Amino acid sequence: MLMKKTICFLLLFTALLGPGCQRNQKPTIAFIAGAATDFWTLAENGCNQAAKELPEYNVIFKYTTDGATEEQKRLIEDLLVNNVSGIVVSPLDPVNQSPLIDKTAEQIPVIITDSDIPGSKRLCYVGTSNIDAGKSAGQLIKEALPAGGKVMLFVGKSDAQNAKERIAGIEAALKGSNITIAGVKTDNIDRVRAKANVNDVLVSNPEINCFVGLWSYNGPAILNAVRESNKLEQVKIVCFDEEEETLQGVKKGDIVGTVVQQPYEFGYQSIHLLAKYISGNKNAVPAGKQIIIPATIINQANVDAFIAKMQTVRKK
Amino acid sequence: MKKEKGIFIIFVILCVLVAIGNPNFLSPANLKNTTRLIGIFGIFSIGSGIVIIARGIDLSVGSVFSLIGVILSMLLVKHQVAWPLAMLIVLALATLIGCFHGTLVTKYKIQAFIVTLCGLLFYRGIARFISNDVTMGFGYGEGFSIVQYLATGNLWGIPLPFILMLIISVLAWVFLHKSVYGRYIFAIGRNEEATYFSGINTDRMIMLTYAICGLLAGISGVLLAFYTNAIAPSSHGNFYELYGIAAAVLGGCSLKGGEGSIGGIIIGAAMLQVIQNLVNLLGIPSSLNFAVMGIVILIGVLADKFLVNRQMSK
Amino acid sequence: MAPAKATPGNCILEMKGISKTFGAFKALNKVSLAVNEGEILALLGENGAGKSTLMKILSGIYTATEGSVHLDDKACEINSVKESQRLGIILIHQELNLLDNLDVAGNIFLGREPVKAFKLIDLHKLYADADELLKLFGLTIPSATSVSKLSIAEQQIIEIIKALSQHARIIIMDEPTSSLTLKETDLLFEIIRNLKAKGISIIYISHRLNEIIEIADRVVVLKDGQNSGELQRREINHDNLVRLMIGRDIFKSQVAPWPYHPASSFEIRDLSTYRYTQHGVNLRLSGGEILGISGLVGAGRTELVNTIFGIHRATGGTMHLNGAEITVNNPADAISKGIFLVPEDRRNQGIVASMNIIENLTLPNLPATSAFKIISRRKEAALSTAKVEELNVKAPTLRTNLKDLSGGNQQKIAIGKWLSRNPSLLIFDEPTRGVDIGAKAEIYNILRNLAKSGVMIIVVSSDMEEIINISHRILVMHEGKISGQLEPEEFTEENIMRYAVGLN
Repeated sequence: MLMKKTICFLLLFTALLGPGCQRNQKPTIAFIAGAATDFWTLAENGCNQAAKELPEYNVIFKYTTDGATEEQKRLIEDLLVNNVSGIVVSPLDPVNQSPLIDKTAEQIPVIITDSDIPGSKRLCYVGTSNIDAGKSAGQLIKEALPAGGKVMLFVGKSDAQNAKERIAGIEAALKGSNITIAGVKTDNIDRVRAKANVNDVLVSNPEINCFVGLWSYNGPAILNAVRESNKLEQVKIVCFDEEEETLQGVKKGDIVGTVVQQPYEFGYQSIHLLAKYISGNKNAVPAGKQIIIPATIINQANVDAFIAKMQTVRKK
Repeated sequence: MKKEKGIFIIFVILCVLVAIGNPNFLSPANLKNTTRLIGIFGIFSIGSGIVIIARGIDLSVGSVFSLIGVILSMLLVKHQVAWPLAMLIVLALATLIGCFHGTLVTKYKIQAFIVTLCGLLFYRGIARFISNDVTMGFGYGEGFSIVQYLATGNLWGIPLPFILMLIISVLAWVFLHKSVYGRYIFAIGRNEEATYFSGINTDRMIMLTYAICGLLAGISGVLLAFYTNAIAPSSHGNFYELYGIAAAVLGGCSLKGGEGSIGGIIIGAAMLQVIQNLVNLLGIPSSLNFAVMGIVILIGVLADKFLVNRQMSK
Repeated sequence: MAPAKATPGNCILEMKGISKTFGAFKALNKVSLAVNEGEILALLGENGAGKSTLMKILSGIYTATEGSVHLDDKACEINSVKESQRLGIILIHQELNLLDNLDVAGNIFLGREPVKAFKLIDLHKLYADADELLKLFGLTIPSATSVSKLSIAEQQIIEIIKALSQHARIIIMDEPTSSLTLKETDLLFEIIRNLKAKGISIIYISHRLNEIIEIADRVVVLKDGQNSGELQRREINHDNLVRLMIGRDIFKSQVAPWPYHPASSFEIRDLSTYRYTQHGVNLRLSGGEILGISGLVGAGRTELVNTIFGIHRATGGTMHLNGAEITVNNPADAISKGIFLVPEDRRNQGIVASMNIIENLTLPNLPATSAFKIISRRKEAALSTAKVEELNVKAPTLRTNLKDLSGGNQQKIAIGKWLSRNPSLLIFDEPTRGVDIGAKAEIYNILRNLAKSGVMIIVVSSDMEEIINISHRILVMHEGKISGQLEPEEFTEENIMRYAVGLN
């Protein structure tokens, strides 16, 4: 009992002081997420769960606020200065950040999550294959448009790696079908613009019969805009990720389905892997240096079960 | 009046060009969408403009949107507060924020740019902190669908935010162009010292402009929150203060103070929305969105100058 | 004794048949002007007579609609300020144009800094050259002094030095003494005479006839945009000047009787200001009295009247109106008691230059011209029309911006905005600075009429002629204290000066 209290106190203490003050000798593991969205909040919950199970480690979770690569670089540098033992990074720009990852990997083990950098010196990749996720979405689109049609894609920034991969996956899945992709609309991670883009496309391209939201908030933006224009009957909606409104939309049947990753597992598994590696268990890393957490399709059939599962995960 | 005429002509030309490029521009659905956004953006642009006329500036508007959006969602969804009370709380908060800026500017003589820049950082941080950086949503609006309707609904086929903006702009027009207070605000913008020497409580008037700006930002903030129906604390309303400032400048306000009109600000706000609309309607790549906006604002200001100069030399 | 009879050098500059129109308004109509080498030429005329326009054409700010400018018998086109400076014509504006965030040397050589390699400023040479020039003018300040620390007179001299360092041949001075004390004016005149000895010509614009009589070699008078006459050195006297300028005799130099209204009174007891916190000032005046306050610049006169008006809080002492103590914490307090100030710095404090006549006149009177806080255009226009007529303001329309009016008319507006408020105490700080002689007389009339109606009036002025002319009693200040009081029979410039410099 006393032991548990002490541990709780220590956890609280380190949480308050953060990485700037390393008075105790516990090794620190840091998780650098993307912008502060629900997606990464779930990853944070996974990290917290792992942290509870690994009392001998400090676990720090950081968001990249402006979605800028400079910020990630600064975060990593600050962590190195504070003698962090290992980090997990979700790179915003995997292609151009590989030198940064390599340089960091020379000093401490680095795990990449969400978007892989295959050629780099990373220890391992923990995450989904966004191409596979894109293919799953393509599957949903084909089911929604048995007679064929036109698709418009919506995303925050089309040059982000995960957006590129999801688009590639969708293109691959739609190849040979009578469904074409009309274009990609970007909104710079601005929800108002995201919704206005949908409204504008409803007006300018009335022939499009399927809207796909590539990033988490695009789903609700599409859903709200289409619903307020009373076009739910004509337009099919396919999304990614698990924002509350998206799941409600799936439940009501307004959204055909959403492709979800399991960010909770990203956080949980990567922290555990790093902890094992740091403690000397080098064999914990699989031979392929990849741990693929499968993306799953959520549709009206399994949405209730998923919501229930999410609630338990979120509570943690 | 002269200044408004210039920008109004440019606005009409722009609309005609877009309508020729894509006749759907004039379709009822598109007009509804665009006027809805004009309403939401127009309301807070009036506030930004009034502050600019009194030779101030408010950079914190975007962060205030995030903060009151988060608080509104917490009140309505998490704490199940009755919607009239929730509205009252967030609007009062927004007005208080304005008064706070006004106090720092007038009593402590800190430059408005600095005060509101700190506000921009501070309110965003607070919004993210109290929400744990989690996106705050309104779902399907059980219990407060009336206010949700304010942002998303129509009256006689006209979007409610647009109607609200029209009402507010009539009030603001009377305030700024017909009332004693408006005269004081213009006088302060042009020569604060001489205005003070005329026995006017200039500090109180400046305070009033920030309070109005805060209140109008609050109203826009509520509409915006229900428009997106979810608030991502870290990105909600990012850079929106610049839309307000750009609308005011397009509409003839001078950053040196003492110039501008409500009509001009409204046209400026409308123009910014039409520009974004035309990017999509004319099939211009979304990535060029900001570039088009920058160029059109520049052309607008240049053309305005040209028109005004020509009129003066006549 | 009298300045040496100017050896009239060669004519170096000739402006022939200059006309300038603004829209339908003809500001200048075939005006001619010649300047000789080493001559002090006074250019005289009421405001609106076209002096400034003519000088702006000469210095390249305006282009003439008609006519030609000849320098050394060669016709030349002056299309820009740069062009005129290249020809050696330098205009020193009435509002000084020094940058107060730079030091003296930086100002003198602004835009012409000596440079070393890579465009780096050669600071050593800059300060050495500047010090040299300062010494030439008998200034002991180091050239690294910040301009903001200099007196107005010193700044004026810096402007002249700046002009000379640009190899000026003709220096135009627009009202150079308007903010100088007597002693400083003497210094300026000495410098002007030195310049003349060096063969530099001066075009001297001023409303102060005494100064012109003292210094000018020749006077050219303009009236309504035309040449109205010219006086040679021996013809220059008060009467001739006035006759040419306005065609009538306006100076009736006598003290008007004091229309005593004992019912109202104003008194301050031991009032101290933020600048001279150690010295309390006492003064008292009654209805109908015009109290003049004289003294050197910096004696604390403006601080005193600004404190009475509530611009600054008093650091000690009390104020009493009609026997009752009053507290004044801000201008609104003073105004509510019927105490008004026409401030010294007209452009920054007295008027809103970019607003029109109506807006300026009604600024402190809006509660009277509005109902439920909504301004009534009709009442506004009525009030303004009445005031404009009453004060004889000359302006195209009521919607003309004040910046387009002459100094005299601006001042009338600055006064007029208080007149519909039933003043009990009106304070004028330098009421006629930069105001032409015709408007000056009108402003004196306004003051006298107000006094006649029982208003108490305080006039602060550095212009001795003015203060002697207008006051019923004169207080002189020196370093924050009242150093003397003069009754009408003692009104002489010598007496004022004696107290002003602190002699007893």
